[in-house]
Amino acid sequence: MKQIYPESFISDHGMMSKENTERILSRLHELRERQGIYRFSVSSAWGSDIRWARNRASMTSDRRTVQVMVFCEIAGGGGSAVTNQIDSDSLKGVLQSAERQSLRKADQRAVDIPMELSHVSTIPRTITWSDTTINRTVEESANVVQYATSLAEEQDLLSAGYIESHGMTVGSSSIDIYDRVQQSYSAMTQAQCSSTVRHPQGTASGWAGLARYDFDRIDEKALAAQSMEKCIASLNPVRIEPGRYTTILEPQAVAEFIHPMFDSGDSHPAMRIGGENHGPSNPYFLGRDQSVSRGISKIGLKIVDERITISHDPADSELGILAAPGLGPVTWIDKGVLTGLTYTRDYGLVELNEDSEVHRRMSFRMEGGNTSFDEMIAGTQRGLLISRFYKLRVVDRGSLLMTGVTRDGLWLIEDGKISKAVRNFRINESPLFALNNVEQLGVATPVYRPFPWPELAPLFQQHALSQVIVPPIKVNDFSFTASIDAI
Amino acid sequence: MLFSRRKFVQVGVNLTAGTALSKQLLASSTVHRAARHEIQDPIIKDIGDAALQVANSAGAVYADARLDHTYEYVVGGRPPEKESMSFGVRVLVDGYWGFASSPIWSKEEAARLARAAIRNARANTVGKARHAELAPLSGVGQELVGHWSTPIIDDPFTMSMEEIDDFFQGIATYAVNSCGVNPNFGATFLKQDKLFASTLGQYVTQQLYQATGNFKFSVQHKGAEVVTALDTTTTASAGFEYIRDQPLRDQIKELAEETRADMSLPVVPVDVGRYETVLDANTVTSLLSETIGVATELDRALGYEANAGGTSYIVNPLEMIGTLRIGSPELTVTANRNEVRGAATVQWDDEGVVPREFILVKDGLLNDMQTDREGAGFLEDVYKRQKMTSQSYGCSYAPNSGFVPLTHSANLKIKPGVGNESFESLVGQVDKGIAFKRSGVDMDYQQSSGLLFGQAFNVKNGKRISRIVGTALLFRTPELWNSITAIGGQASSKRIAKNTFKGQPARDASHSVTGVPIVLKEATVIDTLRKA
Repeated sequence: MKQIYPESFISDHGMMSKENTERILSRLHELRERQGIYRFSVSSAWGSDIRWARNRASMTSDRRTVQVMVFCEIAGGGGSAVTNQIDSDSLKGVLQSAERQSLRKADQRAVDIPMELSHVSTIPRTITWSDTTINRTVEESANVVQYATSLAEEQDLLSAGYIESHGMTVGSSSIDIYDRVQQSYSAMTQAQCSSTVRHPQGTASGWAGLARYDFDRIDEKALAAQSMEKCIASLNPVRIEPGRYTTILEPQAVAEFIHPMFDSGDSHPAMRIGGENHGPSNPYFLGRDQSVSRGISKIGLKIVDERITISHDPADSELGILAAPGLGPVTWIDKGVLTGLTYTRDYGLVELNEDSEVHRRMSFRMEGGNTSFDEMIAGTQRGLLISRFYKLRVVDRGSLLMTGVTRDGLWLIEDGKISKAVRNFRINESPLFALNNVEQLGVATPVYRPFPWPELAPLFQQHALSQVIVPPIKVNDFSFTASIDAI
Repeated sequence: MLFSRRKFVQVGVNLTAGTALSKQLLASSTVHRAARHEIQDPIIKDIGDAALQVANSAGAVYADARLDHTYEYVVGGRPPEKESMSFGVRVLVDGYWGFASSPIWSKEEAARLARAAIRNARANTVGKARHAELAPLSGVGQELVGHWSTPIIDDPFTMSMEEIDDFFQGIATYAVNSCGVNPNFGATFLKQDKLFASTLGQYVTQQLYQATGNFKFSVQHKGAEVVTALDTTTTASAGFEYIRDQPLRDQIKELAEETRADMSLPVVPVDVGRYETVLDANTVTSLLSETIGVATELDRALGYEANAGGTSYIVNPLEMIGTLRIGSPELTVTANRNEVRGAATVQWDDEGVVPREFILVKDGLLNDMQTDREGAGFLEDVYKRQKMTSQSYGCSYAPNSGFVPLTHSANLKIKPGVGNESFESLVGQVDKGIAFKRSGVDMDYQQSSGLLFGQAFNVKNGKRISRIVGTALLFRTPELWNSITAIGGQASSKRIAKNTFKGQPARDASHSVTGVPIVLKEATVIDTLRKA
C-alpha cells in the first residue's frame, strides 16, 4: 500500500513539532494554484483518558488527531475545506476544494475572511503548557482510579469519573495578495479530573472536578474524597417548599450560572456590537437607534453590583488563550459597569476607523471578595447551598432569565450551619438579577471547565484553556420554583 | 447557506454572473477526493488484521479494529468540505477495556495502536478484578463477514456541487418570493466507509450515507417574528434523493401558512394549573427520545454515564425489566437499527452485530433495554428467566473510529392508536385544555422529570383559541406516560431524527423517532417567566 501518511510527522507524544508543522504549511504554500488570500491551519492533538464507573475502570484510551484547514479568498469569493491527512495528494485535494469554492463564489465577499493580514505579534502569549500533563502516564491515572473506587467501595457507594491529559498544537500561516506571509505555532496542554459518587439506589450523588493546564495543580485524590463526602452529605434529602432563599453558590455553580452572560446560545452573539440582535432581547443594548441604524449599547452603564468585575487577560497565567488577533486583554464588566463588548474587524475598520477587533472567548476571571466560604455559611440564618446546575436554559434573552435544575447536592443552612440535605429544585433566575443581589463574595478559584476537543480544534486559539476563575457568592432572594426527584 | 435578505440578492446576481466561469469548473466540481483505496480492498483488511494479531499475541481475550473514511459536505457550512480517516483498536484484557486511535492507516500504526490499547487495559488489571461477559454472536442472520451499502439513488459525493447548491438556492428563492419568509437553508451529506474486524473472525465493511436538510426560516406577521423549520427532512440514511424528492415547496408554503395562522391567534399569558393536554407528533418524538430512549440505554441505567451524559430512573434494570410501569397500557415502544432510511440504521453496529427489532415498552411495562454486547451479557439472567438467549440488540455506536463505541439509542417507534385520530381531531375533543406543537424537552440527570417547552396554545371547545407565551409543561416521566388517554392513528405518525449526547469526551448520535400525537389527562403548565 502506498504510504498515505508520513508517520514520522507525529512525535512520541502524538503531536506535531513546530518544524513538521511548518513543513506542512510550506507544502500548502507551494501547492497553491491561485493568487489570493490564504489562511492555513495545521493542528494536532493527543489525549490519554480513563473513564470509570461502578467502582471499576470502564475504558482507558489514547487518541491522536490531526486537522489541516484551508481558507482562501480569490477574487472576492471565499472557500474552505478540511482533512486529517497530510500526504501531498490530500493537501492538494483540500486546497483545490477551497480554491474551487472560492472561484464559484467569486464576487461574493465572504464576511469574515480578512482582506489584509492582522498583526498577531503584539498579542501577549500566556503559559499554556505543562510537561507534567504531557508526561502523565496511564498507570498514574489508573492509580488514582484505584484510590477513588476503593474509597467509594468501602462505603458501599458507587464511584464514576474521568481523568484526561491532553496536548494540542496549532500552526497557522496566512498569505495575502502581496505574498506577505505570517506564521505562528502554539501548543497547550490540558489536564482534567472529575468524580461522581452515587448511592447504589440512585438516592444521593456528590461531584467534584477540576480542569487546568497542569496536572500538578489538580489534587485528584482530594476531588475523589470531596465527591464522596458530598454524596454522603446528600443522603436522605428532605423536601422543602419552593420559594426565594438566601443562597450560597459554590464556584462551580457560579461559573455555570453566569455562563449565559457570555454565551446565551443563540446565533446572533448578544455581546456583539454591530450585530443584528440589538432589540429588547439583548441584555447589553438599550435598543436600536433607527436614525443611524445602530444598536445603542449599555457600555458605561452599571448593570450589576459594583463589587463585580469580570475580565480576561491572556497574560494571566491561569486563564490562557493563545496569541491571535482580537484576543487581547479586555474587561467586560468593571466594578459593575459594562465596559466591553465584542466586535469584528470589519466593524473596527468601518465604524471605529482602526484596525482592531475584540473576539468572544470563553475564559474569564471574576474578581472575588474576602469572605471565606465558612464565614458565608456561618453568617447565614436560613438559606440554601448549591453545588452545581444541570440543563440551564435561557427563557428570556432580554433579562437572561434562566431555568434549570440543581444537582449533586443541595443543602439547607440553618443558624449558620449546614443542617440537612434537601431535594433538588428547578430554579428560575437571571445572573443579572442575582449579581445585583450579591451579599458576599468569596475567594475566586478555578473551576471545572474542560476544553472540548477535538471538535473545536480550529477554534482553539479562542478557547484555549476555557478556564474560568470565579468566587463563591452569597445572593439574596434566589428563586426556586419546583422540587424535582433527580439527585 | 445562511441567507440574509441582503446576501440573498448577491447570490442571485452571482448565479447569472458565474455562468461563464462555472462551465470550465463543472467537470471537476464534485466534492474532492484524493485517491483512496476502497474500503473492501484486502489491503485495508490487512491493516485491521495486523492490529488484531498484535493484540491477540499480547494477551487480549478479545480485540476489534475499526477503520473509517468519512466525507462530509455541508451546504452553507464553514468549511463545507470535510474529510477524515480514523483507525481505532479496542482490546479486552482480564475484564478491562483499552482503546487507541489515530488518523494513520498503516500496519506499523496498527501494531502501535494495539500495543497502546493493551497497555491501557493492563494499567487497570493490577487492581481489583473486573468481569466483562460479551453476549454471543449467535442470533439469526448474524453474518460475521459481508459488505453492505445504504441503498441510495443519488450520491451527493459524485454529483456536481453546483447542482446541489443550486437546488438549495432555488428552494430559497421560492421561499422568499412565493412564501414571503426569510430562509436559512442548508444541508449536511455524510458518507462513511467503514470496516469492522474482530478476533472472533468478524470482518464486515459498510458504506453508509446520511442526508440532513435544514430548512429553517423566519415568518413575520403583524410585527412579530417566529422562526420555524421543516421537520420532514431531518437526518435519514439516504442520498440526495431524500431531500430532492420531497415536495419541499409545498411543505414550506404549508408551514409558512400554518405559522402565520398560529401567529394570528391572540397572545395571552399563561394561567398556571393542571390541564388536559394534547401533544403533536413532533413533540412526542422529542419526549420519546429524551425520556424512554435515553433512560433505556442500559449503560446509563447501570451508572456508566454517571459522571457524563446522565443516568436513568430505571435504577435497577435486572429487577425492573418486565415489572416497571413506564406508561399507560396504550403505550408500546419498539426499537430497531434496521428500518429503511432510519437515522441510526446500519447493517452491522460498531461491534459487528446485525441489529434486530425489539420491544422496549410493552403495554406500558418496561420490556427490555438497549444494549451492546457487554450490556446484553450483563442481562443474561433476565433473558434466561424469559427463556431467551442473551444477544446484543446492536446499539453500539461511535461517530467515527477515533471514538470508543458506546450504547446509543436505536430508532424508536411508538405504536399508533387503533383509530384514525390526528392532532387536530384530538384537539377537537378537548373542552378546556392546552396543546403543544413542535416542542422540545429538557430532562434532569436521571430522566425522571423534565420541562417541555415550545409552541403552546389554549384550547377551548375543541379549538386552539390563543397562543401562550412563556409557558412550559413541567412533568415527571412515568406520570406523564401514565396519563395518556388517547393516541393518534397511523396516519398521524411522524418520523423525526433526534440527537442525544453522552460520553467523555462527549459525542452525539442521531436516531429516528416515530411519534404520534397523544392526549394527557392532566399535565402541569407553569409560567417560565415568573420567579418564585
